[in-house]
Amino acid sequence: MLEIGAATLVEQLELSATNQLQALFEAALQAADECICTAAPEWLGHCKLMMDTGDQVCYVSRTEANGHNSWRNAPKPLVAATKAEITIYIAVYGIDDRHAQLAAQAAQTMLKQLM
Amino acid sequence: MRAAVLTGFLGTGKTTLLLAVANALADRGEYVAIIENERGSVGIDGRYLQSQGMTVRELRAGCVCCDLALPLQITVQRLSEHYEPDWLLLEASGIAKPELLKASLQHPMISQINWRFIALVDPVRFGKMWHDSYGLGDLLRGQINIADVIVLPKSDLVEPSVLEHVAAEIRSLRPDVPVIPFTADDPAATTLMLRAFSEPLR
Repeated sequence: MLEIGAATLVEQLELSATNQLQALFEAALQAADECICTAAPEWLGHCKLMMDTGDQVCYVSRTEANGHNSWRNAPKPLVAATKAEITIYIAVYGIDDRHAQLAAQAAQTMLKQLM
Repeated sequence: MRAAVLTGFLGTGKTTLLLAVANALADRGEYVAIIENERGSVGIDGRYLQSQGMTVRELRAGCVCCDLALPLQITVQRLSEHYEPDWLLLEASGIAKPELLKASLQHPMISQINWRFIALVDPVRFGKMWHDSYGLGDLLRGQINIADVIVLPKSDLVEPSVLEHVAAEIRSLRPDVPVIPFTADDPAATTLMLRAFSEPLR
């Protein structure tokens, strides 16, 4: 039966003003995509990454294997080191429990890339 | 109160469409309440919509068509009675079974509400879904079968010939419903969506 394997992580990160946020987030999304592709090379679903600093909320996502990044409110450069709440949500269509484990792995991979 | 439910796969653009329509309604002075359903234990879409100034109730870690059907009915009833919004917009999860969802929204507790079903069909990934034999194809056809309106979001990301092909496939199943392309940054498209949410288009 068709299911969604999903995983969510919420973490507080310290971001320095020198961080290239857009590039950092896109690299994290790419890492998650590659992680999912190892077991599901033609995956469909939704990998999402949201950052909330209090001053700005940015959001980027990808919906298929090797897909394009879709931004809502691309990040503005930081003027000083900032604490940010990062929310990662990975959801992959599949027909067995394997996809939930895969989503969890991809979420961890994305977080590792951000830290 | 008017009410619309958005169905569609994960990543199809339901939240983007919902935000565009909700903003346009708010600009007209109408009060919009939103119900967000996500499978994860922590929602992103609901929090994003709240960050954009929207009134949102989240139903998480399940699906409103089955295990969250009762919480959905209670939420709809409470929102409509306590907040009296002009509009109630429901974003279903990407796995909601259309027939079950429709039945859930026809429960006697909330049967006075007349829902319009807006199905979003992603033209970018249409080929992968339409022909999938593991359930995606059936889910997609189910969404199309119960729809009052079918929207093709991200229409700026595909060639016109692809958009025509997708629309033709949909019309082969549902020749009786309008199929409308949509791009979030086109005000005219949002205006057309407001009509599609409100009244039958022919």
